[in-house]
Amino acid sequence: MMGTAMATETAERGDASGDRALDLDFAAGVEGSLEGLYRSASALVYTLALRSLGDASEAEDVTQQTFVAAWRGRDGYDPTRGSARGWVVGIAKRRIADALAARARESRRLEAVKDEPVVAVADPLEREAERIMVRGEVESLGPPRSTIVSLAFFEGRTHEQIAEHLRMPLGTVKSHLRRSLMALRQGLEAADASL
Amino acid sequence: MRHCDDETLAAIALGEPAESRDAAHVSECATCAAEVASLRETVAAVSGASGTTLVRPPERVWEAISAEVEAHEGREAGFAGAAGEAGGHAGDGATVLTLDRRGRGSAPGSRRGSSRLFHPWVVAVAAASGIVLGAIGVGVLGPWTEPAATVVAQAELADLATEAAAGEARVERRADGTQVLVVETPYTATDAGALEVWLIDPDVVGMVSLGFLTGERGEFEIPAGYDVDAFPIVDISIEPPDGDPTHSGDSITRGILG
Repeated sequence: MMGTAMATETAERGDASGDRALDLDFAAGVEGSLEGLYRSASALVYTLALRSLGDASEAEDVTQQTFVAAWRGRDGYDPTRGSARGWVVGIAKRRIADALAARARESRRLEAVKDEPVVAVADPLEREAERIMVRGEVESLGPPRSTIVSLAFFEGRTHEQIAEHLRMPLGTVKSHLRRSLMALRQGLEAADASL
Repeated sequence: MRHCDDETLAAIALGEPAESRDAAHVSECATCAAEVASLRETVAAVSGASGTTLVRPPERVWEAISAEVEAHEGREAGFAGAAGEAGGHAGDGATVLTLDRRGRGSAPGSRRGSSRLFHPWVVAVAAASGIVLGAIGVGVLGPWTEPAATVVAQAELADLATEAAAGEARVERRADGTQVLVVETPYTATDAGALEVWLIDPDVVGMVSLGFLTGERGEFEIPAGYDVDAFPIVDISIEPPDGDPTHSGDSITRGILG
């Protein structure tokens, strides 16, 4: 058991190497990798759909469609280009766009010529999508880094407060934050690359 | 010219005071300055996400996905792939969020032949990466596992300082219903102190000591009333022999049971 534990990290821990293993497994269609990807990206996809569509049941539908489509279309995923998480979010965005477009068509039919340009909603949605992606990447850092980053960036705690709260040496907190920053940049780039 | 290392650049981007040598280098070196600027963008992006929280979908969504995928597995040979789904895009909503820059589409015949065959190595890879165990939640993990025990949760342990893999912990439910934390890790006690095993809550506030680890493998009965869902963090600390029963704050490894 030590051997396997030393050899790989679980996808659920969500660090860079775990994500990488998941990307490769998913591309190869390895049994269980869809669930791994779902555990890693479903909150992202669902939150994005929920915020965009404002309806929980529609958001559930989009989430379901997205992961089913991702699994069936996994041959089109190229792990050398970016993360599976980013790729699946790309599929979700297209699904959400379709749902919004269908709504817009429907409302045009109902309300005749109330022709608000669709682009009007694009910007706030896109920014929120970015924030949701960032949250997803932070979560995927896994503890203790996800906790440290949340405390530092989302709750505005000082390094000293975090060190005390987590009973960690100050230097360790700082080191985690630096490495987290590098990992976050890499993760966000990998997600962008595969959108 | 020697560039600053990545951690130094990250520290500068985070606003930590830099040594004058590093600060001077970054002010002169376009490469390092660009790195800092790019890392600062990440800092800004992360800071900007504070108002957002992620919402998990209800478990029925996964069940529906799982059922839908399984329903199609048998007809895979005739399945035309997701070319239509992922490559194309319909509707004027495309202007909102379309991000499809990939020319996609694969003929059915191009699907990798191995994708659905469970060659032993595929299973081995999946098992090694924890995915199969994670998916089924129950596994018999080897000859040392008592036959009647089932694994209800497990965690990979990582060294807190280096992040290197450092063994694993798992929770087994015995036939009599008791839960046992089994820890396997290469750490050994040193002069600095004994190794104490803890379960800690997600806020790292509540914790319970399970006892001292005295070999590469230890088994600790989890006291009744403690639930690994509520205390999912396995923590091993170095405890100096000072008689103080509280956590020393000197953790060497942690893992999250899941």
